[in-house]
Amino acid sequence: MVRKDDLVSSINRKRPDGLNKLDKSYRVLVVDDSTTMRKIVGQQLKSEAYEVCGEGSNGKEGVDLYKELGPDVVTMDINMPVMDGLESLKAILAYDPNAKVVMLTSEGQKDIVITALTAGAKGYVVKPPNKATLCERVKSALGG
Amino acid sequence: MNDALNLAVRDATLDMFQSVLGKTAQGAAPVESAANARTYETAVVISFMGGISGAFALRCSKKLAANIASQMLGTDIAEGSDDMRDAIGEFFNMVVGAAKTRFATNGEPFKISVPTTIIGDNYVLHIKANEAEKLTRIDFGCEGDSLSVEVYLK
Repeated sequence: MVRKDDLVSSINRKRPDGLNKLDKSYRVLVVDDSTTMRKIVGQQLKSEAYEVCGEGSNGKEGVDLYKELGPDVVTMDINMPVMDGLESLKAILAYDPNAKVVMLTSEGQKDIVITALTAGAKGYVVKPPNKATLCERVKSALGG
Repeated sequence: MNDALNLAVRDATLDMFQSVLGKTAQGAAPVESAANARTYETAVVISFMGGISGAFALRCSKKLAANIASQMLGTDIAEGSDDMRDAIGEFFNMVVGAAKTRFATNGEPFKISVPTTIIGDNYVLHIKANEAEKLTRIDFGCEGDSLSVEVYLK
């Protein structure tokens, strides 16, 4: 479990052209059992001026960090040990019905994605994540 | 052998080389093989169960695993490092996920486990999928490197 203070800060980094794409820096909690995928997702979000406020390595950590950090949006893997992404999604929505969760999944889990969307997920991204698609789905989840 | 599953695994592996690594790989025809016929330093195992059950295994050198990890993370990753172990597991996780989607169009669906990665010079992989320990192996080549994907059916 990695908290904001443990992360290398690149928050609110200005783009080279001096423009930030977002009016404010939205706080994102990234939940995935793969450190590789957390790094990729984090890099892509930070490059668009999102703030990665925390990282969880399983669904239970995702729930605990959501309660602790209150992020604007969560990216959630599905196939994880301890607690999978679907159970974590349900627990987060039970705690906060307005939570905005985007599922991140490998291609073969689209059946579970449909279940997640029915349960209240705001969208999904298929791995490997494309930066434009990931940021568009996160923005859409935020209502932008 | 399950031809539809083997074809799905082969196509998914080639697609992931292209989409994740931006490289074109060559895939050989699936062949029946004895267990541990290929001895690479890195192995990733993902089991599956449902309409059909068994396991998939990827085997490659540490050098290729580190190259794949470096491509995924956009920075140099050392052979045998934690980053290499995690990245090669995630790479194969995406391969198997993509194979599952392809197979689901003409076969029975299944669920997959999280990946287990093994690194070492002298190991034997024993997967209790069938008593004869026969499996289907698909060999791939890319820019002078090679890897194998194995399909164990119960």
